[in-house]
Amino acid sequence: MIRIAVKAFAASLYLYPASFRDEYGREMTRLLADNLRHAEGGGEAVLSWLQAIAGVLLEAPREHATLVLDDLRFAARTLRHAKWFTLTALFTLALGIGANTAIFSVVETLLLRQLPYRDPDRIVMVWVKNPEQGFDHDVTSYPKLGDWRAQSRTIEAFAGYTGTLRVLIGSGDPEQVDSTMVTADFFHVMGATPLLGSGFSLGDDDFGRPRKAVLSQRLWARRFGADPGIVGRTITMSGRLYSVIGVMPSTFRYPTRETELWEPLAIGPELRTQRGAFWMTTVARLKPGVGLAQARQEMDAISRRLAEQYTQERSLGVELVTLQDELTATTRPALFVLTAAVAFVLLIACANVAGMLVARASDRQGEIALRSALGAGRGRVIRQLLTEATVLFLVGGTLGLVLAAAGVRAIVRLAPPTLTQIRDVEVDWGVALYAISLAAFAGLVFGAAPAIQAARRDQADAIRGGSARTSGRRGAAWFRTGLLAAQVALAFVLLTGAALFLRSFVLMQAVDLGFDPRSVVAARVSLPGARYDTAAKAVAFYEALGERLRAVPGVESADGITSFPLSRLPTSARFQIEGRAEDIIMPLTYDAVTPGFFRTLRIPLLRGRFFTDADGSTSQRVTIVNQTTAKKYWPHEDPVGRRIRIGAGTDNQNPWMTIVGVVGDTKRAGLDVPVFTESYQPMRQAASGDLDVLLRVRTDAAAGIGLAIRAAVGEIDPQQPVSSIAPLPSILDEAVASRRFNTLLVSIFAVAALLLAAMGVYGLLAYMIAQQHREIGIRIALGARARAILRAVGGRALSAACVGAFAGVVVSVAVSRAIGGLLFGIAPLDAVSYAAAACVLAAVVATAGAFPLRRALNVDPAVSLRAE
Amino acid sequence: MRSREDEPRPEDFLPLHRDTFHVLVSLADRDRHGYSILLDVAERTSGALRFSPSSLYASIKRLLHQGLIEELAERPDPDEDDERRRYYRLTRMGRKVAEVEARRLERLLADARAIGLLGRRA
Repeated sequence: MIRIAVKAFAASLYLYPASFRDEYGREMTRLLADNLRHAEGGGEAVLSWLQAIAGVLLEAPREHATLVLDDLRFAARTLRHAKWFTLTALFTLALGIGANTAIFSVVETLLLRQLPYRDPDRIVMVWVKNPEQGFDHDVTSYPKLGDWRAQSRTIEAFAGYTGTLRVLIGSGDPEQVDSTMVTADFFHVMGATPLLGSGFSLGDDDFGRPRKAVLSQRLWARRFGADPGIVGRTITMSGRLYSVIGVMPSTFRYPTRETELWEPLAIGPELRTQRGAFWMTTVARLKPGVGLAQARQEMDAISRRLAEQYTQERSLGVELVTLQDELTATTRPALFVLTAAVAFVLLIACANVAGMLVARASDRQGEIALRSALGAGRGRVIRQLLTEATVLFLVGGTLGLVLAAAGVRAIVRLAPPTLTQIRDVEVDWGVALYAISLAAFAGLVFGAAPAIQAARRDQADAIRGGSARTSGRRGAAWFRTGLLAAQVALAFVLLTGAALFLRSFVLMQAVDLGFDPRSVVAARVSLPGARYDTAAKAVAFYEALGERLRAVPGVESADGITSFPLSRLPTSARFQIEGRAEDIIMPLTYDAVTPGFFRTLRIPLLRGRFFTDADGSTSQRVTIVNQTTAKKYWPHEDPVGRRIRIGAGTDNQNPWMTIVGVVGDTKRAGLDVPVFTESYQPMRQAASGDLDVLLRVRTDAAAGIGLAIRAAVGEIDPQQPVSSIAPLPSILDEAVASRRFNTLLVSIFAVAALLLAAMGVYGLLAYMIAQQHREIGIRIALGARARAILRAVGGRALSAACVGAFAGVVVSVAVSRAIGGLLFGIAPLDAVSYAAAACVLAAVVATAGAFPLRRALNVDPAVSLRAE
Repeated sequence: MRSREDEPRPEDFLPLHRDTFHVLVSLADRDRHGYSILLDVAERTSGALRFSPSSLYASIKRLLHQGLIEELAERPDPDEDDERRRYYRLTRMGRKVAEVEARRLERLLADARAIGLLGRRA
């Protein structure tokens, strides 16, 4: 009985640090055995056993704590003494951890953070897809939304919306604001509750109801001084009265951050029945407990039924995407690349520091052996070295955090304006925790190998020093060469990545836009429907504006188009070609333009004619198509003279239009977006309330042009605001800004990786040469030639670099394939990029290696031999 | 860790932890092993203080570390002993420290008496 109790106690001693257990464990066990043997009665024995166990539980953590404190103090002292080592290691770690932390904070904000809506996983986007035409993210028609609503059992509610511009007047200058017109259940679907007042109620979106508006917190604060009495007040927008019924909190910024207000979508009887008019974006809320796959399955079935019912929809399908995935779709691939890039930088940094720790451990071999000889067990030595490494990594991590805070600020400043969410990124407690955990983890992982290795060495050998040195350190050298190979591999992968992005970027810059944006200034005018209720009024406004602008000194021409920049997902319209039996449903864009539009933008005419002033509201309906449209639908014939019709309905609603010209393709949807099938109509036949004004200006007149545009608009209609006045090149630039941003960041990380790898190469060679100083001295004394010395010293580093480069190529091939979608104009295995990366890496590695190698050649045999 | 250069004074160790003081007192008359210390302290305190193995060896470790006691290389009475036992002895500093602490406690006691806390003697 006593034996078992004593054994149990002996086992409990494993809670103590090994050093304490080794020293006193046996005595303590013996003491307990004595105690139990001499106990008077079983009760006292049990009591004293319990006391003994309680004592262990109490004292063991205390022993651990003293040990850690001792180790920390010791680590701090030794690190302080090795200034250069510590500074270099800290710099390396701060760089690695800082870069990771900065990118992590971006990832956390953009990808990981939950949307601030109720049960956000239940919100899905519902898109129309058309596999035949190759698009899967299209808007829908009102009748289709109705069918979905009626037939779906897995979806609790569907909401449709579309954006518009409103002119807000009263309490300040007239201002154009982004409004979103939504169906009544929109806020319910989004799971958002107003800050003040209420959302829309059932029937608010019926045609002819009194107009209501829910304001964004931003608009409420800016325009109405955050007046708590705003609910119930009436505001004037675009010539109509709206009663404000609520204010949304600042966290609700859907569909875009720029959305200033929401109003019910009052759908007229015409749109309610037009199956061919695709214009509504759809969000939906799944019923509780319904998975995405289940909802997809049901919606697919519904879609097939609808395809049978309506022949013109037979090629249409439906696509469900969670809102979270939808919102992060564009940033996810780039962030994935950046995360991988910084992970590589961190690995290289850690490899560097691990290499430095190994070198340092072999320099301290004597000290370590002495400690062992004085009774410190192997575990104790490992523990001490590991503490030292962890302290180093933690301090490095803290510095990295500081660096990350600065990095995040730089990233936010450099980020493209379209990436609006990035403004929310900041280094918060979660990010700090991430950085410190990362540092601690890396410290343990990368500190372990050097520590174990250092403790493993033969002590007697080490104390003796000198002669047996090289053999004892072979393991360390192998370890370091392995690290070097890994660093070269990682740096190569980063360099090829950066090279691929750089080349994509350069190629994209060289893309022919199909028009000439230089010296063109753009401005946006949105006429309120209430005051411009007929096309004639809008046309009159545009023509008056054009006349005034053309009279401004320095303006060479002034024209307009409904909307110049094309959305990446243009709304599709059902369009028919006369004489062809089948209806076609596919995206054909349509924009009204003024007659001089093509000349102002220098878009070439390929066939037929441009529009003229004669193409008026009463003359024959005409249209111009782009080259892509012509090639796609009239591959072997001349489209000029053919007739097409956009939309459904009678000839009265959507009359046939005769193609009078074919113009060149333009890249107005984006440099990396394939050209759409586009069509243009003359302004006088198809005017709408929206107009992008485009002025070709002499360079010397560009400065004052903004004022001139505002003045011209103000003279015609003092209540009419103008927005987004900017040179066209800078508008186009925004489109490439995110690509430039990615390229810039990846390049920065690649340079960091290169720098760290160079430090690694330098460090390794310098270390090996210092180790072999004596050997080199002897060789030189014996008359060895420079080449033999170089081979002896640099040979291993060179083969390590080659192995690393080979591994780098293998990994790069895989990585390039993965990032293929982000590239432009080149294949993932672009030979130029690979060659460039290889050259840069070889040059840097060679340069970094040259310095220590030169030192090897200059070894003075007399000095090195005397030193032993 | 204390550095060896600045020689510590006995006062630097005061006040002593209760357990530590008992161990020092126990070692004042003769060298003892752990169990002997435990029994001695229990006897002197009439069983009020019975060390657990952990608390005893925590004190011993601290005292060794501070240089107040030392481990004996030879065993004083090999007859009643087996070789696994370790014996400890007060160092000169340890003895001084124990003395200084005893004096301090004595003064404390005298003060308490003088002020009447323990009842004035007639």
